[in-house]
Amino acid sequence: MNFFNVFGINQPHFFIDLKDLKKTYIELQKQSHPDRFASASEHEQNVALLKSSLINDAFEVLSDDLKRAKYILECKEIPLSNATRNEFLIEQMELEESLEENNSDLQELKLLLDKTNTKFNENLNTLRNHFEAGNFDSISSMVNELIFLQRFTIKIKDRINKII
Amino acid sequence: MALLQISEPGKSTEPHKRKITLGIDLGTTNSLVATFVNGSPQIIKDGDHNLIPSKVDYSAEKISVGNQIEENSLPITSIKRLIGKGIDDIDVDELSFDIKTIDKNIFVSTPIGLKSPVDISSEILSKLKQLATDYFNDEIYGAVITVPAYFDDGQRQATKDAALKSGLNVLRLINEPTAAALAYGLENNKSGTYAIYDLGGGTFDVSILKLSDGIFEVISTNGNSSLGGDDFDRLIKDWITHNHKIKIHNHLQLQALNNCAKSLKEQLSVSDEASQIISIDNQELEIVLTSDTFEKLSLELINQTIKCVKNALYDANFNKDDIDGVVMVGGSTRMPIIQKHLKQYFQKELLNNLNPDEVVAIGAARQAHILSGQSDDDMLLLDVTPLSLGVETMGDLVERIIPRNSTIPIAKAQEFTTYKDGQTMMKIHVVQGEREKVSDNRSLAEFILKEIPPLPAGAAKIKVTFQVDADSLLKVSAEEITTGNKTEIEVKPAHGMDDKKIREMLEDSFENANQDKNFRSLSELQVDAQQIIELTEKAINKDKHLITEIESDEILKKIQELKNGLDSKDTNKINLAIEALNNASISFAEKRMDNSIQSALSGKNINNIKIK
Repeated sequence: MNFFNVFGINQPHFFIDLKDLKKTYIELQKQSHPDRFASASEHEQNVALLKSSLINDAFEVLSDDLKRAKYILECKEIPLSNATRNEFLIEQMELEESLEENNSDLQELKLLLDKTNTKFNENLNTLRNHFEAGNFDSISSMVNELIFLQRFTIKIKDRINKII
Repeated sequence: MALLQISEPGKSTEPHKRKITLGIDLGTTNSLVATFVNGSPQIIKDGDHNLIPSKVDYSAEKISVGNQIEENSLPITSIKRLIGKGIDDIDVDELSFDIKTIDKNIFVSTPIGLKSPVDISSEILSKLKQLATDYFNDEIYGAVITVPAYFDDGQRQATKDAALKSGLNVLRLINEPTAAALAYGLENNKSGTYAIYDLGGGTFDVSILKLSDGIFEVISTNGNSSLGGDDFDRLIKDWITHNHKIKIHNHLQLQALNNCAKSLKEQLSVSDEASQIISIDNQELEIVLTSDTFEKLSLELINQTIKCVKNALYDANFNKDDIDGVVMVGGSTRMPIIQKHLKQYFQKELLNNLNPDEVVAIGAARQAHILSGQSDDDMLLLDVTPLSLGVETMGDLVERIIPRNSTIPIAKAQEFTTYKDGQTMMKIHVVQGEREKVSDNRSLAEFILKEIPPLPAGAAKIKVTFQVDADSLLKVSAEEITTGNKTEIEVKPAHGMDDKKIREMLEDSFENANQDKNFRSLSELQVDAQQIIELTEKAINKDKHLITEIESDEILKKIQELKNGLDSKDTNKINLAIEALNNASISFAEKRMDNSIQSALSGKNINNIKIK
């Protein structure tokens, strides 16, 4: 059973309604959460624990665009692309340099964060287009770029957090 | 037992019996026990007192707890600050009692021997249990016990062990700020996003929660499990000793100074200036403290709590403007300087219309009532794990497996591989915390996976699974995939007896003291047997298709045998027949469970996710 099946979706699908997903998540947890079985037999408690954990795990992955995209690749057994576009390699280097240079400048760090966020959202749009076109090679390399940008965002936020 | 599996999920098989449930707030300074009577929460009092001081006094003659402790004695206080911790985690100079360490485990020296923090906490819990038993004049079914949200696995496990030791059936451990939110939501029927600021006697938590339609969803939590009202007292105490050049010679003087500091702090909650006379070394001193001075002393501590608030908001991906209300919990939030700084930070009025001392126990009582299956309340609580969990990898680095603020229960697996040719053993070191280096985090457990087949480096695959349950307690298992060789450990703090041993001990003592209690009377047995027959027949009628005809015939045969047993009025025969029926229906019960999971997962409500 894959994460999509948990939510009653037969095939891995990128375009799902997140509000519906959340609604179903709550319904499923209402039926399965260990709190509903706190006075039941040990066996039932164990089943509830496993089931509720699976639902949480599935929801965490499916409710996030990037994690969902990555998971779809896993389901389809498409490996993450190792090839990075030359353009993006250069962008990566520029971003890293810019972070090193402005290590303790709050203003600059915030600008860099905005820039990275914008870039992330642009790439997410491109990812959506690739999914619409069913272009899985491009999806794979775009997921790679998005993972880098997400990690980079966390790095900047950590720096900012240390300053304030 | 198969018997229970046949009943509807979550429902009692004994509807005729009321279940008394408790909510217990095991605090650093004070503890409380609450219950649900006729649909509303109620604090169970100790005489005239709602609060039971979390103090234990051991003497050769007796053990006294809380309000019963005589003046001029030197009881053990704030034991919660030591529970689940090792000697390296604490500041020995601040203790007003003697301790000893064995293998880094902390023990308190008492006139009747060494006592662990678990032992001492269990004395407090026993006292609370006794109050409830006396109040109802009946047995207690179970309790929800609250712990600081920022407690790590060791501290949670130790708290649960203390409860088991006192003979309580722990329905759930829940987080203190979450319990407060339950009580608050109950009173106010609110929806929105709330920050719960919980400053107790020895711990600080902040949780960001979303409330809507009976769903309590914790988004993030942060805190410091060794920051509380005690630390504000200590600042005042240090200020006194510094200003008046006092040297502390013994525990009695330290206790007197602590009491003086506490009194000054409490006076400042109602006025701008406090004074207290203290006699030290046959000298009487008048200490005067203004709220301005106190504010200067405390600023750093207050800022530490606000930093935690910022971290929680950051993890939740919220701005402080997204917060609809700030709920104040814990006796220490009575300090006007705390309220002033929080108001300044949030630019909002604070919600403190419920008694900050009682709100946690009341929330816990509500949850206990629901967990016992006696309530129609459809409320669902989704909490998170406060600290990241991971394993040690090469070079003292942590590989994170479950990130902090993951909704619990949660299970995650990760594959690791060997790094040497022919490697047959692998050490798995489990840590909890947010730092990158292993040595900066809390070490929870180490275990060794043996009998890995000798293969070239990187060829063996070891799957490590972390399971965090609804009490936020961790279980780790490891499996070598090619051989299926498994190791499973329950992560245990390094102290005293484990859960199973305590249970055995309890059962033994129970058996010896009151042997015939283990034998149920014929009438009780007849009621049970009737019920089992009824439930099993119902289940067969409904779900016969799940099993073969041979299986269902076997079950029907055992039902008939049980009916015959009932006619004989022989308890031994009835017991054997119940057991035989249970054994015959185990696989049926399991199939019904699996079937109910399938139908829950493929029920009509889940086909409505739109594929755009």
